[in-house]
Amino acid sequence: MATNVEETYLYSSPTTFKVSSKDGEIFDIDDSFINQSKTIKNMLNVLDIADNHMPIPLQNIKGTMLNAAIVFCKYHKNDLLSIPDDEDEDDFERDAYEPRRSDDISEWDKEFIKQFTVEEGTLFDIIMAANYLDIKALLAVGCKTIANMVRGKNSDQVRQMFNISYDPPGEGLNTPRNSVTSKESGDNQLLTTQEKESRCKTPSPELMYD
Amino acid sequence: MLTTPTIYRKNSHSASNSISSSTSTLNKTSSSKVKFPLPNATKPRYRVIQSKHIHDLPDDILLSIFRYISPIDLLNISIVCRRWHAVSQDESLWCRLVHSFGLHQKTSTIKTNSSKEIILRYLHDHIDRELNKLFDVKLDPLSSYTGIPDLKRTLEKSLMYFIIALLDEKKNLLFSYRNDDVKYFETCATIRWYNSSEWLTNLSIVKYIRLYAVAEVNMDTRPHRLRRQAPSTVANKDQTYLAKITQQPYRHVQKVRSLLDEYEFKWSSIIKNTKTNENSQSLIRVNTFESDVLIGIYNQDQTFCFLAWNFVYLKFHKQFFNGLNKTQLSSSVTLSQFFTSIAFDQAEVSVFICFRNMRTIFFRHRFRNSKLHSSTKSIEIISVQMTHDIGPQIEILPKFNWKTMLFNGTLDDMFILDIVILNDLKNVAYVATIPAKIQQNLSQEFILSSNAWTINAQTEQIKIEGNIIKLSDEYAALGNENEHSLHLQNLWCHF
Repeated sequence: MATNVEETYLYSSPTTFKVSSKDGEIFDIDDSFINQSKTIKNMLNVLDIADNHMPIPLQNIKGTMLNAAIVFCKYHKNDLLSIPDDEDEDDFERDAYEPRRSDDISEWDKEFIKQFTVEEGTLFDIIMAANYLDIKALLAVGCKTIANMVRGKNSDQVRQMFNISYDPPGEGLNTPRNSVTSKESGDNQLLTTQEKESRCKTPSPELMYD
Repeated sequence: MLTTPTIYRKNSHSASNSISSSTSTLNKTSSSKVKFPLPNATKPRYRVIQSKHIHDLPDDILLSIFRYISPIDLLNISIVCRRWHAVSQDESLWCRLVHSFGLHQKTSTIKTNSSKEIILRYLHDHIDRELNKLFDVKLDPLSSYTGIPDLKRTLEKSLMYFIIALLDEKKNLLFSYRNDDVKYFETCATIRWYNSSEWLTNLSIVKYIRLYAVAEVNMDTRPHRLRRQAPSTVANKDQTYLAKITQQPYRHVQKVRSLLDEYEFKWSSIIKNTKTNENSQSLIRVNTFESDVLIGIYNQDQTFCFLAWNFVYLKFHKQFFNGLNKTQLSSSVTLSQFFTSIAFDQAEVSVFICFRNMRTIFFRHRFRNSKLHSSTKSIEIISVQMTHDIGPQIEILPKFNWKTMLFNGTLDDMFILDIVILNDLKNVAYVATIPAKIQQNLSQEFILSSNAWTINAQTEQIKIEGNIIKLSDEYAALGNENEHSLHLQNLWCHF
């Protein structure tokens, strides 16, 4: 743990740093962001950056996403990292098999994540950004949101929601299917899915009880 | 991913705030001049601003999303696409679920290969239990003479609905439709689908017709191990919220689908049959198809057709109609097998005879003190008093029009004879449902009865002959001509 103290010392002299996004926007970041983003933290450990430095280039992240991540970190600056880390197997304190819940997103986070949508792909952008910046809390919120969207839906609805092309097993990609099935909607889709599932040998909960 | 022109324009517009002004003006001019799709190019060669798709997420993020998903949903999404399937097979996902359900302690007795199988078996058992709970109908054999449970109560309690599926010869789905309504009658319920003009467009391909029932089962996938208290280090404002939801069980509703029946379906023959009946004046032609399906079409433009399934005839699915199976102890046994298997000789039993069509009970009586003769394999039905359970008068039999819910078939189609035998413990020992033919007896052999109906019910194993005699508005009897008094009627079953 001694190294950590040293790290803190290293980058704590200037309180703000500058980062630049993929599309050239420049943002000021402060401790709240640095503490939560492991990537930035490590970067600052490696680089010796003085005051008035060049902005740190983050070539993978759009400006809007970076801005959102900074807002998120500012709000959560008082939270300690309570997100379980899967790779961290040494942590015996943690209940390793504690079920993950997707319904414990706080109200603020819910409002926050609403600005990102699947249609424009921004939801995936923010998840990718969180992954790249290694912000565990933001990544968890994004994953939970997608998990909530998937919850209780059948495979057809999921495909429709994420615009995934159906790729029937044993056939080529995007083989044209019977056009009649496209007319169905709502509950009728249940059966369409069933038919597909019956051709696919993957066990599905609905098939199991035939 | 499909990049449609609208997406392209929307993205370029929304991004123009952040992009420098020169590119945004370039975009404007280009989009005003060039219309998408371009006349020569079917697709844009490249995307100017690439919007993310879910496939752009790397596998480890996908995996961490899947960690938040409950086992049933995990099974569902594993068939979304090949990549998701591959990711969802990850052993760590299922291993985690096995541990969180506390199943790892039990696996010492059962040898299984993968954690996924353990989860599958657990879910299977769980849904079985839930379904049994749904259909655990306590039946009173005395009040419901045929052993048919209160269908209305059962079905409404379980939030069940039905789906009809038309399949082609390779059993691919052509059309599926949820039922429009379920009508409950005294003796049965029928499921109906209306407004099905779409059916008629593809009828030549239809080969199979299936009936599914879909019930919603509440799944509570709360693991045995309760979640630990949220650490106090979580920000204060969210703590009460977190505490609230961590104590709630993790509920979700799973739809369980069950195939009830399947028929080979020849629409052409049905059309042919209906056209022969064209001289009938009814607007709707009704056809029986197999024994429990009715098909009706409008005469005029054939835009309206319907299907009706009769519950009573259905070979009920084991899981869905557990309650029924419990009472129909001998439903698969023929009457002669029943006689040989159970020593009822000289025992006094009660026999219910119910004479009905799909809608109305015309005649129903409980014959106490009946005798079963296993030596001659016959039932002697002796009735001393017949004072109750008389249905509506036979001669004012309503015509069954499917729009007005009135009967429109012929008498021969529709009559059903139920025989229910109760043993001395008043449990249902045997139930038989036989389609019956009825002819009006014109010979006027019965003195007190001006309208006698001959009943002629026959299956492969059972043959029943007898007469229905309407004695007055309140009294009716079923029996053969004999020398006994009118209060003592005999009915003999021949094998």
